[in-house]
Amino acid sequence: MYVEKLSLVDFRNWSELNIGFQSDKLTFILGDNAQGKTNILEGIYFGARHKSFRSSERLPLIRDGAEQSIIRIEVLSRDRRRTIASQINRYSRDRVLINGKQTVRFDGLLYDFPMVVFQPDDLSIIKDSPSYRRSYIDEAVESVDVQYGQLSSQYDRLLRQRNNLLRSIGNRPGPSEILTLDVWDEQLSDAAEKITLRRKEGLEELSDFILSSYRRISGDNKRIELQYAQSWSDSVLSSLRKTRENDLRKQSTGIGPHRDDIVINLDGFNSRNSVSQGEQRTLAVVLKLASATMIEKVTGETPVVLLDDIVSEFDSKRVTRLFESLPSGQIFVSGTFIPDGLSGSVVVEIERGTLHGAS
Amino acid sequence: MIYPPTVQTLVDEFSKLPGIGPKSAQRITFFLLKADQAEVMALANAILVAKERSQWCSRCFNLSESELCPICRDSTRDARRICVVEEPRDVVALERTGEFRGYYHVLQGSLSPIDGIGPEKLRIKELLQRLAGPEVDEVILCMNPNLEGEATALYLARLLGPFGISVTRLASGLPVGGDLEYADERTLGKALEGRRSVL
Ligand SMILES: [Zn+2]
Repeated sequence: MYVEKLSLVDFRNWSELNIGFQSDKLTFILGDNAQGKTNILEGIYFGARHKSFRSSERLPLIRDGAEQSIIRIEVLSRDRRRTIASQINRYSRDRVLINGKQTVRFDGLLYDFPMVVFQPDDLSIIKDSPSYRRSYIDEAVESVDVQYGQLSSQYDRLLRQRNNLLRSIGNRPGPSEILTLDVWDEQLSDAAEKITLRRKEGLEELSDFILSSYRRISGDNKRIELQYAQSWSDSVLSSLRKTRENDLRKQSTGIGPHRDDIVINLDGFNSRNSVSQGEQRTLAVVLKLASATMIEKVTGETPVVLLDDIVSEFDSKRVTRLFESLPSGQIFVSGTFIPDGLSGSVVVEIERGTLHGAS
Repeated sequence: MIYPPTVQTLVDEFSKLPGIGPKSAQRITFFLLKADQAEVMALANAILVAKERSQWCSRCFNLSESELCPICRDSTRDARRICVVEEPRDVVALERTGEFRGYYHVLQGSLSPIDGIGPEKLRIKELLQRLAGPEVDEVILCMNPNLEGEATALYLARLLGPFGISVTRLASGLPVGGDLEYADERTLGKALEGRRSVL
């Protein structure tokens, strides 16, 4: 996929912005800090996904004093040229129009308009709680499997149903309550098994890309092991039965895909807490680049890759190797300067909140 | 924006209706305020009369204007079969297919702990009472093809197991996530015809 044009109205610091991009090129968005370069990447991302990679709240996206943001991108994907216009409204519901037609379901956007973003906070995928790693694998799988988004929202709903049921039952369930719980358990485990299978398959597909990309960028030969760490054994259904008493006491569901994790070992050391910060940073970017490669291999469509502030994150050797091993396709990089050896790229410069296009 | 109190009351009342947000509530209010007096009277009257005359059928819990609904009063129907549905609108959808000649039982909802709906909130006890006699030999579960409908059907299948009657479900093929009423007559008719035993 290529983003050919971006226009922003009252989005973050931009009251109005129109940029055309060249497809299949590395584009640098340069500017000093707080000039809004990340906001441009965020605008591109929001245009394709109708969500931000920095904020789960909507209102901070609307420029101060404005009632509405408009984000419009023109993209070429799966051989079709489409315009996606998103409105974020301060006082009413958001709207998304694809080629002028209103869309109400956003769960296919990731598959239709594949995009991968890396930002400094992605270090959390390596260092922080399992939820970051689950979101990572879920997003990777969803980008290659159009059904997966629906499956995972079904699972979320079933989980909410079961947790609500646990709260209403209390400690001493009667026969009809046990039967009700049986029924929700069955449905929940069915969805849980499917999700686990898809995540494991996804991780398997990713692991080769992760390994080779890590070797290229780090320049060392360390062994990477990726393990899907289940919070349950045998089957979800039998585990739910075993932990039922505990679940009833805690009024929440203690096992299942929502509690699973991915363990990433580097030469036998858990990358979460037993490897260097530099290795953690490299792993984080490698995971994202690997998902971009997987999207291209599995779906035949190259995703747009957004790299926010990546140059300042790594030493110059790693930066050079990183740029040498980027996947093919359109790539946007924000930063304060262009690293050595990449002077031939397209540059968009921002000065005092205005834009200067040059190459 | 400030409306006169009587107008604001009307807007507030409409906002309580399902699927009606504050904007639609305003739109409906102004539509009515601009309409002819006679038209507004006809609407108000229709609401009052419908509310006054309709009740739940004492046997199947469908909407009715009398103790028993017209379907339950029709003695030419096949008393051996009961089709269990979630809402009165599902009876309408199934009747449109012309494929079913038995009687209905309306649960008036589906299992959904999020909404505080457990088996005791549905007309399940009343269904079991209807099955106590010898006439019924098949119960057809026609829940909506969504997560809550599925849970309700599974629950009933388990519950009815010991009754020694045949329990069947609609054949798959209905659009998932939707309601029975959105399926076209042909698809629904086929799903009914191809029903399968769940026990
Ligand atoms: Zn009746």
